[in-house]
Amino acid sequence: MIPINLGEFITKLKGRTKSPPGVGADEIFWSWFGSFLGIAAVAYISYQYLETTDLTMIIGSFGASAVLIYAAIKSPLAQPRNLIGGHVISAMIGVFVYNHIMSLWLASAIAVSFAIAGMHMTKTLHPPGGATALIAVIGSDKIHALGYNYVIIPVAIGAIIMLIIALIVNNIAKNRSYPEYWI
Amino acid sequence: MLQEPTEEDFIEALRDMHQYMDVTPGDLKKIYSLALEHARKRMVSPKVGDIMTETVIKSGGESTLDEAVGLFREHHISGMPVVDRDNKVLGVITETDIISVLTGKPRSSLFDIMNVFHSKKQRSVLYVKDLMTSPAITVMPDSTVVEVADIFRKRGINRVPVVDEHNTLVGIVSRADIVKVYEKVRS
Repeated sequence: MIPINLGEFITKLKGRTKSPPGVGADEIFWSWFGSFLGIAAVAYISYQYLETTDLTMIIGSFGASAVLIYAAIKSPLAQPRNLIGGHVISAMIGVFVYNHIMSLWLASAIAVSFAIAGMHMTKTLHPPGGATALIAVIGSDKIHALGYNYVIIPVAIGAIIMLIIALIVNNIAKNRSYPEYWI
Repeated sequence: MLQEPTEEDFIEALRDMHQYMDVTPGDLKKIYSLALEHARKRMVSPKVGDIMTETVIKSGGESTLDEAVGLFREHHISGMPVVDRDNKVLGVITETDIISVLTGKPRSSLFDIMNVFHSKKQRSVLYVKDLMTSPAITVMPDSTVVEVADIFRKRGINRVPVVDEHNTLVGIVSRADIVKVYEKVRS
């Protein structure tokens, strides 16, 4: 049995610091503007040009990436290395797991957990990567039919398009600068 | 005197960044304290190159035991590096090494030592290279004093030659040098 110090446990549950301050109106604007353009770019390509094909350019995890690369741009989780690396590594793991494990609940858990481990190992931790791996397993038939192409389109190309928008928007804003680092 | 920043100060600092920072004030304060601690350690831990003695009493490998003992006596030291012709460190010779060889015991009593000197047995000429401890434990000039103190403690030695990247002797650092740094920091 694991020995638990109840007092210490409750103290931990209470938290130990205050919440960070909020941001100003200009920061809210640039976060909104960047995410609008970023998602608009991948969504437009997807729905205007790829809708009738077997391809797609947008997946749900890009919404989460938008939060990071347009709204929390100083975060290590939001840097280009993490954005691209995290999505690509997770996508590869997700497709591999879907192809080899039949049980969907087990494949889901393995895909996400190994994607997190893979991102940690490669210093590319990007939370939306977990969703990218999960989508490879529980996504639509169209996603499943892509096989390993899923890693290239929509994941890698989509992430690159969103990155390009981030590089433009985050650097035209006076008080912003992006990225913090590349590699 | 400037006080340590409080959590409120860190909240204000985060606000001054005018952007969403992916860190809590508590973690930021902790990171700040740890960084400050590292900076303090760096300040109180000068490099070996700053405290070493550059004029080193040393011996060649081909020197005899009597010559080495002469150097010990003349300079009031109990050990020295042994170098080759290019001043590269071959080993270290200490009084303990010499006594061990003469008495044939790793730890000798005063009685053992006196026995050797009263012995009528003719001793053959001994060379430093046969008595020294080799290879020597060495440090680089950019090693910190804390690292050297750790070597002294773990290896139970009193001095260590300082060498450059080519193993050329550039100085020596002793326990006494470390004590001097400690006294300086305390004062």
